[in-house]
Amino acid sequence: MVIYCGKSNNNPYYIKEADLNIKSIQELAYFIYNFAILISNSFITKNLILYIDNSLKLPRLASDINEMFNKKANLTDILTHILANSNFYNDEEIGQFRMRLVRLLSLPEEDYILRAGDKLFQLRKYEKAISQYSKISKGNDLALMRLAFCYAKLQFYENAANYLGELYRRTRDIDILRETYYCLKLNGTVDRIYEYDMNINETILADWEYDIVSRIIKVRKSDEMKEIEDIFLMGSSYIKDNVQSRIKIWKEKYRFIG
Amino acid sequence: MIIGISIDENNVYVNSLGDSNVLSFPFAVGRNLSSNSWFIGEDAKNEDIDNVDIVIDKLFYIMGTDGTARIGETPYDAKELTRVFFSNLLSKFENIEYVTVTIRQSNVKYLEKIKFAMQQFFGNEDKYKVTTYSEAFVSYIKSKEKSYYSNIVSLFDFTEKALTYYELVRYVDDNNIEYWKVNTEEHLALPLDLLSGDAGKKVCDKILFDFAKKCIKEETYNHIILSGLGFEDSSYYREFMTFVCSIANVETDVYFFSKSSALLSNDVINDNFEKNVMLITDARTTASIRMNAIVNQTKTKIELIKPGEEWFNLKDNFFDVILEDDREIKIEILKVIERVIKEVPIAIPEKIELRKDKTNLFEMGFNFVEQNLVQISLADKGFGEFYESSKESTSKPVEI
Repeated sequence: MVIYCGKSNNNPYYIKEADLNIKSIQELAYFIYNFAILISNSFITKNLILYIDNSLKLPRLASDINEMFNKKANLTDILTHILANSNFYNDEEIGQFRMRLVRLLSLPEEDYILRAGDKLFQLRKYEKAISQYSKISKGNDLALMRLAFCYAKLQFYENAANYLGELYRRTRDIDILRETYYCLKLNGTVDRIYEYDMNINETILADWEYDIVSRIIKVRKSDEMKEIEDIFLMGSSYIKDNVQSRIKIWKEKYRFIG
Repeated sequence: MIIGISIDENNVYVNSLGDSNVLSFPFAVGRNLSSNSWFIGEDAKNEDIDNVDIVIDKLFYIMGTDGTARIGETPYDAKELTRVFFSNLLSKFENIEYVTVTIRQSNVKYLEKIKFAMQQFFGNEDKYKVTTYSEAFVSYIKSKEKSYYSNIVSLFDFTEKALTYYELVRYVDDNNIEYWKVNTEEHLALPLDLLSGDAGKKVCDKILFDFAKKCIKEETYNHIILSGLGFEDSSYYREFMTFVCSIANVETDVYFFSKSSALLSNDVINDNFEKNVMLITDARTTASIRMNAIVNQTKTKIELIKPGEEWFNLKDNFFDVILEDDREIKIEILKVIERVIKEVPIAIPEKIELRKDKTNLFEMGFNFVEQNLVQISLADKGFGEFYESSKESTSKPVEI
């Protein structure tokens, strides 16, 4: 069975909390259902109501939310009302959502922030996730680990190595040191590994080097590599088009960081 | 000025609403190479006009074959030549309120090129309509009193390249829907040269008579219309005429389709269409394309394409659907005349991973290639910024 969504809408609505755009009531519902931890009281705005009315062509739902908003209704009730009218979630799923919200609100503050960071990480919003994890990184091993992953995803390997190194000093976990080594390798500063452990065994380092070489051989044979090679075989105009689209994505990310 | 234009393989006929005269000229374009001027119709073919260097008089054939014609060093494609023809033709008229262009063929190759030419000239779609003779035939009948079409009205069109029979049948089905259905029948073309000799005339009369006997059923007919240059000389088709006169009132109008096209223009301007009538012609969809889907938690039958729509003018035939579990989408085609339902499964390409949280969004498209052939496409759209599209898609031609 399929869910019928009608004609697609091309106007996006920007959700500031997650730095993402949605274009349909189903995407909005999906965000509320799965990323409720990122939603604060400022989520429901006049702009969102106007968007639901004009772009999503759901005047009745917009009017309902507006009324609830003006009467200062509970945020959970408003979110639940959106889900119930989203043509996406059924009553059972909405019941589960309400229970999940109750559990979320009862979480200790550090766990809550960690979860919010994880959700942003899941959305590939690494800069926003970093700002969450940073709030609790002092003394929190999980937050340190996730900060390192975020920086690694952003290809800031020096920062990633710094966080992993700090974590290693706290835990003395050899797997953490190995990840630190990989980041330093990618950053071209592999000798810094001794800053974290002066007595590291040379045989272990040789094993890690071997592992890196094996990985390089493996990825060179991957489908993605074949796709890139195929792009180059398609001729200059095709390469230009594909490079342009990739540059656009890169620029967006670059400008966001800047 | 409200205009009707009908085109056959050789000629173009233009009528202004209410005018009994019809302009008729060859469907041809010509070009003067030194001045870069274009000429159309007689001006293009007239050999006395010595400034026409190149004549393209097989324009209809070029349209149908997506061909090109070389003028000097430059090749012109069929679309451009059609545009040139209509641009020159329409610029001869002032204050055009609406134009309808009709052709016999229900074929996108012709219809799309004429639509393009009209769009280029007018710049918007509110000024023109491009459709088939069947639609003009219906407008003509609608312009008459109801008693004119209380029973069947039919038409024989006899031109250089075709001998075609049209009949309008009206009926009400079990669901109380009133149908106006235009049936057509084609005979092998008879060259009009045959009419230049007595023997040829006799052969034509015999063929017309046999064709009429084949087409006319044991029903009650109100009127039979004779159209096309083949009926211009009424002296030769005696046996045929005797037969059709015994069936119904007979009227002859050689330029019937240009005049009825002008009537169709008038219908569009005045929105003169019966809202409760389902019109089925070669220009209309003959089936309802439907799908079972969930809407607001309820299983609902959604009609994606309605019957009776102009299939070559259908736009925005794209709909978003979210897949819940199955790896296929079932489309249902209900043929409105035969009341037959056909189920068409569209499989999701293997390369597309099916996620469990209802995040497989697809765009379904319906592109009519012919009246009874629709290309159904399914493209993975990912799910917003949460999941990227795999860019995988599939399409399937489905006969209606």
